[in-house]
Amino acid sequence: MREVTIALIGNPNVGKTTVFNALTGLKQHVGNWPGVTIEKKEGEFEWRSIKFRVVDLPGVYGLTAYSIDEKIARNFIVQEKPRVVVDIVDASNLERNLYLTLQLLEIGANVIVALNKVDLAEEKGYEINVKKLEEILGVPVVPMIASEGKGLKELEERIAKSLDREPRRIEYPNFEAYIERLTRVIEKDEMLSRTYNSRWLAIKLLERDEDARGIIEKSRKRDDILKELIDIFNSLHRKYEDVELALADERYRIIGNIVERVLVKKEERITFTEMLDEVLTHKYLGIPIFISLMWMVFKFTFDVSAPFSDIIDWFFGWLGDAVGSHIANDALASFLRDGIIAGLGSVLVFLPPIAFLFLAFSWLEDSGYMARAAFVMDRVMHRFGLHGKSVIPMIMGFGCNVPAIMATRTLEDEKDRLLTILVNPLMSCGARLPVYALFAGAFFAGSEGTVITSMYLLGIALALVIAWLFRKLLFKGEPSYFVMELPPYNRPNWGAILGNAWTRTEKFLRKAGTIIFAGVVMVWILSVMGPGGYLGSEALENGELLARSWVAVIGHALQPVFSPMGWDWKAGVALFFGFIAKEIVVGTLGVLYGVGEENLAQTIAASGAFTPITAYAFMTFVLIYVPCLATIGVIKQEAGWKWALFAVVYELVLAYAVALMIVGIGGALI
Amino acid sequence: MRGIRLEQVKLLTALFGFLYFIYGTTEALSYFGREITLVVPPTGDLFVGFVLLTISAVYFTGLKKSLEGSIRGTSYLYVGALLGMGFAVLALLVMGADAIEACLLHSEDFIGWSPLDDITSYLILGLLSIIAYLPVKDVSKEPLKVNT
Repeated sequence: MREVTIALIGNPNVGKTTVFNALTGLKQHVGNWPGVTIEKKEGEFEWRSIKFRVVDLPGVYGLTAYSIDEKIARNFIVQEKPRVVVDIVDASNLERNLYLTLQLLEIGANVIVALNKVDLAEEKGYEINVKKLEEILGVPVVPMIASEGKGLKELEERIAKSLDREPRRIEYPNFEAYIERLTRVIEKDEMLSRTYNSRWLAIKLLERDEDARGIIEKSRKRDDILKELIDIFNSLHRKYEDVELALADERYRIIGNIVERVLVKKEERITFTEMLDEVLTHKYLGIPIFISLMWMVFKFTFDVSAPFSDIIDWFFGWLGDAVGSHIANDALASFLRDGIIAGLGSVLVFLPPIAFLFLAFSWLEDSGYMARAAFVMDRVMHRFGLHGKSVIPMIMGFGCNVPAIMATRTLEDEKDRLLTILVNPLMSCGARLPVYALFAGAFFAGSEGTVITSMYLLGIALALVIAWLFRKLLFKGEPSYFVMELPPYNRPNWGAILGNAWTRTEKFLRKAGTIIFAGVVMVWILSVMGPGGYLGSEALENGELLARSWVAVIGHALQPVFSPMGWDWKAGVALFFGFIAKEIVVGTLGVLYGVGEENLAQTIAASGAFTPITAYAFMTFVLIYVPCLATIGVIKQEAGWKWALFAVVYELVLAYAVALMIVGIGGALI
Repeated sequence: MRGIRLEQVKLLTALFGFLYFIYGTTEALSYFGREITLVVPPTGDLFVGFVLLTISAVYFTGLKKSLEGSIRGTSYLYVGALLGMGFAVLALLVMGADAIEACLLHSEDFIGWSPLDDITSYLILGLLSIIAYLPVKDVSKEPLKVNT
């Protein structure tokens, strides 16, 4: 039996896996591509006396070799030379998909176009003239609906019949003379032209492709080829500023012509996703809509969760009273009531807003909006020197900075990655929400949603400004552009949304039970103990006694640093312990104010320790200053000690400067 | 398949764009100290004004597109209605939370609370947005046909 290798390729989400499964059935095996941990799927099918080995290549938009997926796909086609490359094209998205088709023809692959999702195209009101498409591209085109198994038999037959077909050449009229010139010189090296398609090498050299350059470096005709290339570049630069971009424009121009000739719109129809994208990704409306949705999220988070927080507050108040009144030993009763119960209660009271925040974010993610938010913000990001891919870790930072910083691994350029890591802690994570909620409730009653939203917006604004500054000073150069797949919008899947929200909320609960618990217990011990020994539980209610505690020693040592902002020593202690985790700030204040069972917000407001301005400055300081220990750890892991220390120092300086500015300007205005 | 006439799109985007603009402006003005009551008193929250003006801008962009004869105007009608209704759902959830505070927890801050206290401009506008939503509601099930 004759055995031949064929490859399946296509853009992401075109139904490639469905076609692969339908062709190979159960005859599949999964491994990894050499040297990387990217899954490689292979399968088999038989047609008459031919056994086909089918290799499923990664989903890619092009073959420019910018990403590892593109490199794998390109290298396989160039080096392994499969007899047929089945290019799965989404008929409802013809224009975008044909870019890859053109690049496959450039390589000289024996292409068959599997025109999938023709039903979806019809639903959109499109009619595709398959015969004409075949004629223009010069390759077989098989219309199909892979999900229903339609067109599969025809595809198998066309594959078998195309095995010995000569590949079709694609021509670029505006570049043809230059491609021909370079191809002729490349062909002088017989070894090179036997191994690679000379025309493809010429196109890639014009695009300044590094891999192609590497191939030429090994050629015995290297000098001739490079000389010709320089000559051509000299001519081309008189016409085009960026040759790579001009070649991409040429491809799109050709694709535009093809689409115009083969695609007929039967009637005007708009799909659900098109309608939403038209508005949500609008050039001018996209960002105001994003801000509006973020404000709605915080309004939902704060206002709707309020009764549940009150129930938890009431429960811990009752528990503290019950435990305190049944234990005779003062130290033990205080430890349980004022340390453990009050400390945990003052943190867990923020469980509902955190759960509601995660619920809202999970809903936005599941609906498909978050990808649009990234797209909308990408334009802004780029202006501030951040890479488009930075948007995803930045949005993830709203949940937790630790996985967000790890997610920067998707950025190929080291400068882009470091820059994204350094500004990520400025994206306000969920741990900072309890501090905002506490102070917004205490000093900005009725406008909590607005004040909390302003914190998140301030974080974004600072991240952008700092990124711009670092790009100018530390990471000079331009970030590169990127292509992003916008998934279709979905109706809410409440099971997935609740599961996702619970997973994230559970992390907060675990943290509350471990790090935060240990933190508040430490604060209680340092509050009831002093250089003179045990002060008694009264220390938490008696200011004079508390002033003799260890915590007061730390607070008074820090007070000169924070006094320009008008904060007392208790605020200094809260910030000091907040270094471990931001949630501890609230727990510490709960212990220091000795009000586990009462409303902490009311007590702080009534204490006179803060004014609305100094409270806002305090919230800002919490937003900006040193990320938690875990975040520092992950920065060290991803970027090294030097950058971890740099992050700590710059954030402390920035937090101090911004807080001081708020107090100064606010004081002058009011 | 349901359809919508471009004339309908023009009328609805103009009407709702105007309503959201009026209420957005009164909300923004009230934040800066000029309180104008139109059926319901303004909340005094600047962000409410911002969101209402954003929804107004969405409708007006739809009006502009449909006046130019573009079917894309329908998208703005659809999204404007969704945003408006989403905002109203939020107002209803806040009302529900306040009802729990008042009736179940008997919180001090909610003594004498009545559901009428939580009737806001964005709740009323959101409920009215159902009128804009109904002609385009089936778009999530199948593509919308636009009769130009």
